[in-house]
Amino acid sequence: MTRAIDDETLVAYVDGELDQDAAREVEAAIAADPALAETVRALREGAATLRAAFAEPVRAEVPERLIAAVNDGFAAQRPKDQGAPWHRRPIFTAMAASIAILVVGLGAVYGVVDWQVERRLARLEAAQEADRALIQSALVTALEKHLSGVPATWRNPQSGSSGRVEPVRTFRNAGGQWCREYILEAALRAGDARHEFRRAIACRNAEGRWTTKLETTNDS
Amino acid sequence: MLALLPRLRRFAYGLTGSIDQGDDLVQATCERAIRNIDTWQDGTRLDSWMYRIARNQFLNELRAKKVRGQHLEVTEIDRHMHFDGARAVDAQMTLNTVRALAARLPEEQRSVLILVCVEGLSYKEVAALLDLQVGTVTSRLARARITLKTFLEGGDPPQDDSARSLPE
Repeated sequence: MTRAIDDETLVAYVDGELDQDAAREVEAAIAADPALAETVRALREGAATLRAAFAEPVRAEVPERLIAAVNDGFAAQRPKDQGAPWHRRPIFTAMAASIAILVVGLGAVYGVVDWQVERRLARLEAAQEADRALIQSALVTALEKHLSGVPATWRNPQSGSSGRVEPVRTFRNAGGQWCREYILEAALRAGDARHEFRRAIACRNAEGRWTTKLETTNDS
Repeated sequence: MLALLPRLRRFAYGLTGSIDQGDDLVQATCERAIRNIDTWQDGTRLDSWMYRIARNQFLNELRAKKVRGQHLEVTEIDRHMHFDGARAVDAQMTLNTVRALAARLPEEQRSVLILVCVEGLSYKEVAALLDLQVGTVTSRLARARITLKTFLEGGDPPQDDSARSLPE
């Protein structure tokens, strides 16, 4: 260990916010100091616990009143023209409903939606799906074929997204399976541009399938 | 916008410490966002924009409450504040105490903590959203994370009462 690692650096390391050199330095310090390793573990656990503590709204159904607030809000913004309100006309109801089914998926039909925004989202869904497929394929390639430290990169010219998967270390778990710790990083440009950073461990089962066992995720 | 509701609700839950109050905040946020939808720039993150509105709305409400001299409804804190990490076998209880702890953190730390650890934003994104320097985000977050860690390890809950005050 060359110098003491302060709390801010350690927290930034846990969140994947350090550049490669700084992260390597922290990793070396952790390897040399069990107490530091324990702190890192506790920080990760703290974040996971916090996530779990506030997870309920993403698992539960959205209350009707909030959906109504959005729908009514957008409906009220439209010019009041002749005839029935736009969202009550049969053709719009049918169109909006089918778009809603496509977009929302998972069987949850949220009803008539702000459809300009939702139509944009529908296009994005397709691009995001393509990004996910590329990530998955880079992940398999990296885990199966790449040496630790050698990233598999991907790029989706359609969405402008790109990313890498880099194996960090390889070991055998107690059950004798080969496992690899890896870093998954992606700059996602489809829709809400965001940066995803994940550190995880995947193990390879007897059939040759890689299953991610442990994940410290920094995405949303 | 509908697709964002679950995450907005989670964020509002983190800020307010209560699902009901959080939902009130989400409703106010959506209404405000829709009124100002023209100011959202296509191609920028709708979620960040809405987190920002939610957080401003929350701060306004905090200020309004303070002006009226009412107590903030920081729910269920004192009953749960004694937490023994070693004996906390009940996961639900752990989650309750973590929520109580988050509610007790100063708002400036709580927003950063929730945005990074729960909502998964990067430091840079949080800095842009809250109009802060990345260094400020880092230090607030580190303080909050260390408090959380100490607390989960069975240490003393933080004694300061700044959850009830506004950021300077």
